[in-house]
Amino acid sequence: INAEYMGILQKNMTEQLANAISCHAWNRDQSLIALSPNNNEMHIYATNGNVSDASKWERKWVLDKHGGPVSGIDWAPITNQIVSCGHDRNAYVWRYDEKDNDWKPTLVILRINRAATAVKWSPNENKFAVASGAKCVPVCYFEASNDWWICKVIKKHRSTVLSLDWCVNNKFIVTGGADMKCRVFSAYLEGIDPSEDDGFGEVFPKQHEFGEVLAEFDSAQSWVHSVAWSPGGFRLAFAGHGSNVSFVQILAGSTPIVQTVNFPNLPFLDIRFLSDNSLVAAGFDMNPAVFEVTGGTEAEPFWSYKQSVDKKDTASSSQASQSSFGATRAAFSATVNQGVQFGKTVEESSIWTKHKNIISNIFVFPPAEFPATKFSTAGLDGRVVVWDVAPLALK
Amino acid sequence: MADEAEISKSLNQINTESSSLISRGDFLRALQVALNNPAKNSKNQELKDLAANTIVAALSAVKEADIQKIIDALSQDERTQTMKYVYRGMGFGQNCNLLLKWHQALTDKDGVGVIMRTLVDTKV
Repeated sequence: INAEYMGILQKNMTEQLANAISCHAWNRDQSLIALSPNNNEMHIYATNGNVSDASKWERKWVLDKHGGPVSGIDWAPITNQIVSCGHDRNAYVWRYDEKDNDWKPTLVILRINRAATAVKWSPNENKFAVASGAKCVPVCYFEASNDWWICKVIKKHRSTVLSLDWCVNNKFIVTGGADMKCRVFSAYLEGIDPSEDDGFGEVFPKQHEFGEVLAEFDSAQSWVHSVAWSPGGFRLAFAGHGSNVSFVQILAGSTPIVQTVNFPNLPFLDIRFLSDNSLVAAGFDMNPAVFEVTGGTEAEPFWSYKQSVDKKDTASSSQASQSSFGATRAAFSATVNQGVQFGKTVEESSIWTKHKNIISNIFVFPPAEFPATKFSTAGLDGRVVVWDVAPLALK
Repeated sequence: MADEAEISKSLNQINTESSSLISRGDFLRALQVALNNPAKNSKNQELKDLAANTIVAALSAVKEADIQKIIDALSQDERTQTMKYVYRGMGFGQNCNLLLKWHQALTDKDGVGVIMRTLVDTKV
């Protein structure tokens, strides 16, 4: 066994927490992270101050209430409640009990007859919405008189809803799904949301009619894997399976402007805004990509792909055996053990990115505070990699 | 839904124009004219095949050495459309050697993303 070859392989290898991670969410100060190892369990780890180094994390709780794979987790930063949803067609709201040092679940009946695919807390944390394969989006709120969560369902979708996000005003959601459309809905609930107009009345006249389609976009021309709403509330983005990301500028008094950016590599599965002018996207490429506003005006921005976050470490490729005997030996062992064409260096054939499989979920933190300072990615390789925003030099 | 008869008429016109541009040696214009067709709005497979044949004819008329020049002159949307019809052309089975050269040049320019956009298109 060539020790140098193994050294190259393990250098900078992030700790693998599970075989695959389907979803994850952080608490407000990043002292805890909740994730699902692609089964019916939710694991909560304490970072003990080492946010970037998963090998130092300590697993504190295993929550296994769900009857099937957990497909979505979201953590409300202020109320500290976790909401999870899964293939068992249920959602649970978890509240931390100090006395018992445990998380107590409350079942939320969603009235869907297919799996839930994603869940997000609203900005004020008094509602959450669940995307589902039942072609609908239940919006749940807490009814204090009965001490339980009840839901009101948004329909109008023609196929599985794959992703959703909330507008900062707590009233609207944007959804994307397998019917290849991205739609904006009103999720306004009387008694929960303030009835005063907050400025969006000019843009969406039907803003206070629950379940009403306020806007619809079809420029993805393919399954919409992920949707996101900018922190300022006037921009949207959605990513399609056709390796494209469409950016929407919402304007008062005129139709929204849509700009579709074609990406040269593989499609994205999750996108999140890092600020009003920048967005991170990750997916089948295993490498997060950053899109920024590179031109245009505030009202008509021009977006483009700027950079990929994971950069190939060119220094390590020269670390390969200095001696010709060692180099030949490495080449032989690579051919025998990996099926690499003889002569091709090991670095060219192995996966150089930090993630060794597709990235399926991103979490930006600090949650609901902008501009973001870090974001974490997780996916089918079972690793959670934390990235710093500062080195990206965003405007 | 657009009128099938109108689409048919439009496609025939495009076919004629594209053929004459090919015979005059203006391969870039021939391709651009052929790409700008309404076949995706039609539900008629014959009309879609007609549009595809026109475009593949334009692609096949280009010499291998000129492919890169033409690709550099096309817009990104036109390149995506071209890739879709390269695959259609390979489905017909003729000139595959040349079509593979088109495929290589388009992939060099737009990456595997352009192949993804081809795969998700159900209307070509």
